[in-house]
Amino acid sequence: MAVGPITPRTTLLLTGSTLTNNLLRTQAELFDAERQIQTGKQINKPSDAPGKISTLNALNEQIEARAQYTQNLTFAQGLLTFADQSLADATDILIEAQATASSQVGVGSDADTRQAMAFVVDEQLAGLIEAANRQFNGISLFGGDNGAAADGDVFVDFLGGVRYLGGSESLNLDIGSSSSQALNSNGIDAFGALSSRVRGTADLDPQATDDVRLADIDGADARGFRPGSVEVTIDGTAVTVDLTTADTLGDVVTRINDAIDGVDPAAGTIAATGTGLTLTANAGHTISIADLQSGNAALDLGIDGTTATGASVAGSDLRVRLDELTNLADLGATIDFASGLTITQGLTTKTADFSAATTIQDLQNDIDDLDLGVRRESNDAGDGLDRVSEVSGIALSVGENGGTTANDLGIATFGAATQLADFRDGLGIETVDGDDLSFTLHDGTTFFVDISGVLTVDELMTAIQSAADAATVAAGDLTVSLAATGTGLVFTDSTAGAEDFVIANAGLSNAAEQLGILGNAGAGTTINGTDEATVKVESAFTALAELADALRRNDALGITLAGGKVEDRLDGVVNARALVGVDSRRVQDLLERSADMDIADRQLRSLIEDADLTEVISRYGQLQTQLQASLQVGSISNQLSLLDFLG
Amino acid sequence: MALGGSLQIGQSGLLASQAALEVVGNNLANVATPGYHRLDPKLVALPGREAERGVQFGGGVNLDAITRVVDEALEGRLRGTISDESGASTLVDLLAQIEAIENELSDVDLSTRLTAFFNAWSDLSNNPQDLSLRTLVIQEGESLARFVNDLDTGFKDTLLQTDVAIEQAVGQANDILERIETLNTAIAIQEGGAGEGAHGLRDERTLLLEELSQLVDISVVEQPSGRADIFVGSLPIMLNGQSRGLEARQQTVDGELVIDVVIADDQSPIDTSAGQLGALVEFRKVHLDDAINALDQVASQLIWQVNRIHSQSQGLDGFTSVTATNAVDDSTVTLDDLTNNGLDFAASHGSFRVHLTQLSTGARTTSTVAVDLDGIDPTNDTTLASLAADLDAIAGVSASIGTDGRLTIAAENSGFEISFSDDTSGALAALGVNTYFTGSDAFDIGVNSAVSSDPAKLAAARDHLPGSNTAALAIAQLRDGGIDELDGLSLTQAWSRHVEDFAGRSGQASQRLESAAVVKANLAATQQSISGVNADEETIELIRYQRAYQASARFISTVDELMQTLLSII
Repeated sequence: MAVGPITPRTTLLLTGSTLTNNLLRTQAELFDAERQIQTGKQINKPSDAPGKISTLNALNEQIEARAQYTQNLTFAQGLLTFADQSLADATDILIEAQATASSQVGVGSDADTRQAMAFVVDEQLAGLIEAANRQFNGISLFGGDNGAAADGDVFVDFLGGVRYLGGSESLNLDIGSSSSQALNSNGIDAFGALSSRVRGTADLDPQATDDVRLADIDGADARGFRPGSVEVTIDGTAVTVDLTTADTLGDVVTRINDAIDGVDPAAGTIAATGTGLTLTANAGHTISIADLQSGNAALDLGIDGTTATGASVAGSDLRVRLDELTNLADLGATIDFASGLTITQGLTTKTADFSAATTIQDLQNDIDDLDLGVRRESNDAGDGLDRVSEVSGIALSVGENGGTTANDLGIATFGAATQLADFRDGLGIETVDGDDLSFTLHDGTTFFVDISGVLTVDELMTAIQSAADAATVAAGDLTVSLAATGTGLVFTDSTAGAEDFVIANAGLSNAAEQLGILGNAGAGTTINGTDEATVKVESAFTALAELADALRRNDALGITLAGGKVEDRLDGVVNARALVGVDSRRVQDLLERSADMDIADRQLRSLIEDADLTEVISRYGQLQTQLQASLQVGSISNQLSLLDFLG
Repeated sequence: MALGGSLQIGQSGLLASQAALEVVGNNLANVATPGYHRLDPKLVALPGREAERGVQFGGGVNLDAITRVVDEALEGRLRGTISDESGASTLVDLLAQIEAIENELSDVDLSTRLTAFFNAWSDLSNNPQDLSLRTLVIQEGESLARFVNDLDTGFKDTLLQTDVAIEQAVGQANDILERIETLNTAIAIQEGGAGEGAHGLRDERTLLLEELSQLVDISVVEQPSGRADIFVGSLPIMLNGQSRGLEARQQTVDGELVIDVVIADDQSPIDTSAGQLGALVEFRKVHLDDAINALDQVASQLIWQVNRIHSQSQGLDGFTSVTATNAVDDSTVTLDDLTNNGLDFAASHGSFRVHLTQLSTGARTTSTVAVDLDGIDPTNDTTLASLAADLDAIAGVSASIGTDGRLTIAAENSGFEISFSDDTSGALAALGVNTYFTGSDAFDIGVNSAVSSDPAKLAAARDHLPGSNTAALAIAQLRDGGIDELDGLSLTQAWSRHVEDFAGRSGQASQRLESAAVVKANLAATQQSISGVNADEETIELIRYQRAYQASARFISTVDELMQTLLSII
């Protein structure tokens, strides 16, 4: 409080104004103390404590944001609890199914019982679908980043199987930009809802063109494109070219060429060609490109340190990734798009016609048009296409349609590179010591094939052809090839004679049957093998569907195999449940940490913002006394006058 | 010495004492009169005659002068502190108005509304297809927009009130100057160049000068005639006793209305760095402008950042037709030339994608639209007209520019919908295509009616996955995400920085007020000490002059007795 002036000579006005000022000041302080007592806060508006408002604002923001994050975490906790319950139910269902499978193997059961139990498994499958479709507050527990709307399903009946419509990734929870936590689970992690084997093995070699977005290149250093400026030196004249706002390779080309033109239009050019950029310096000129200090743009563009003197110099491979707008004409690999694919999903076979397609997206649209539950994804390297089945319980095969499209794209389910280990849903081909296959041709020639050590379909065809050669079958009399349309092997016997053309198991081997080539063409010349390398979604739904199917077929071996798959999938569900538990634990930890931090922040805010009532009330009493004293002193001093003492 | 002369001496004593008593009486009468300067009677002994060589008799006493006790230098300093205190007090009050409008640290403030807005997006990210949560996001956006509008209105109202206050203060100053002008003339006439005498008029003028000091910091130079010339800085606002008048001049500078105070005679702007006028002008030019700009900047970035995300994301439904919310004045001007195209946000070099989806099959065709704004070969740079042409060239898509300068993009055939993604240029957000907010600043921020009328249009997703929450998350995380245009601060941090800044300004103004008040109190006390009336002191003077009167009367009585004695001899 300011102390009033002390002057050698006082006047009535001075005394009065000083008294008034002091009273007003005391009353103002009393008012402030009253306000603090009434509100419990010493800071009610920013100007009450300018020095503290920064900290107070920061604390308020943290507390308010944390309240929302806590709400989100609580929501996630509820969802995870539901997910855990759903997975527990799924686990119970699969355990029951496993028990069903065990009980129906061996002599303890018969066809009628198995037929009846098939209905039980159907119900179990329905129960599993119901558990997988559950929602928490309208959000799919297992729909990933594309769950169904409220009361909708992400697992639906489709072509006799169960189709997954959800997303491939989990939804993320908002707990601040510096941290992340999955909100829900996706059907792939929990139930294995998408197939995993039709992965594009062919490098389609997407080319560098002007239209390629810089966001779609992995860059020469495999670290993407890091925007920056580069230095272009044209015949000794250095020019800085800003590529920070470049969007495409075309922008890079335009800006560097503009810089070159600015120095000497005849010096040369840069262009996007092949898999990268090519710098060309015309005769008598030298152009070099390098990163500026601490920049990486030229490095990522594969042209850092590139110098061209009267010649063209190609930069490094930019590792262009496939994009939905990648032109099919801009693929370095030669692809037979004209023929198309033959795709079989369950019992439905359709032909994908790519003849009018010009982009990758057109391919996807053509396949989507088939409505077979097959989705396209780029492979991890970004240079090939995957075909992923969304439908559990039925088999998918992708084959040729008279050309080489499937093989060229590397997505044939039954191709030269197909592993024999992938046959029969991954059970592979069982071989025996000695010969496995027996061939009898029309001319009576019989030979055997030992496929021990054979790994791929291509090796199988080679082994058969070699065995035929060893049996002195003339070249061309027996041919083995991949089916021109669809999938499978095709055998042609061109010999003449009265014997039946037969392919059979040799000895105790079941290889011919397992390879799908067991057959007797009689007098015919061709045996068309079946596709035993179809792809199935390795999901719990598939396992139950196969179990039900095996029970209906009274197939003891099938029941055994399906029971094994149920067990495998049970492991997957249990693992998924464990992961949900881990997530739940983390969410709980985050909630507890959030609560602790909230308490700490609120305590700090209270120290800053809240009034110390003991201190304020004491001060209030002092001010009351001060006011009373001022009033009394003022009234006395104003009453005293010399005039009162004069007679 | 003759007895008659002695009577003269006695008479002079009576007269002088009586006059001095009148002065004392006047002082006592004005003991509580503000602005009154006490008068000091100067009694001087009159010279007498020489009785004989070397022997002098006195001639009595004479009231030589009645002096107005004043320290002009102190009065000048006092006026300066009055100006300082008045200015600081006014500024404190004005800054308090800003603080009251913003109402921070309460539950009804922008910080709270921003938090509620981002919370709504955060809630939506937990269930992006929930229509009730979508509606909540729209409601919170509208609530936020209205609050920002209200803040802007509050600031603009304060601006108008400040302008009126400046006008009123200038009118008040002119009124005071006219009254001083009148007093100047009266003082000059009454004193006739003597330099004193018109005490009452001078006190009245002093009071008016103090009143004027509250408005503007002045210095006063008194002319020999008694007229006072008044200066603000080095510029006279009253010269030769005549007011030159003040005016509040409004003019438009860089499109904004500014106001300053000028001398009416020659339109010279005066220094308004102190006093109430100074505080009003400073508040308008600096503080209020800063507050408006801070709000506009936060609102503008809120619009831009949210729209950048929203415009390249997807709702549950696409558009059969979408019309941009922002109009372009000249469709042939490049999209980054804000001066000539009339847009508020600039697109940059880049591209965006347009997707045409056939509803019956879900088949989607995607096209990239390049936005060329690299400045290389300007004839190729993108204008609204060229953009519309590029869009129109996409199979199945039509694009046109309305007479109002707004772009409309539509699917050419029924059964198709349009959506957008991957906008690296910001063209969609700049034009207002598939945006969440409309407007460009605090004045006109609002929620796009295309979204508010159809919550399914709220773009919470990316990659055309209806259940995706990617865009909702991105918008929710603007809560604490740094923004280059805000020097790396988030939206809430930027607003908090403004609040902190103004808290500091209020604190400084309060400190200035407190220190000015202390200085003023000290100087006023000193002034009172010198010029004020002390009743006890005057009472003593009263007794003194009363005794002097009694003594003179006694002396006359004694002389009278002497004369009676002398006459009795005859």
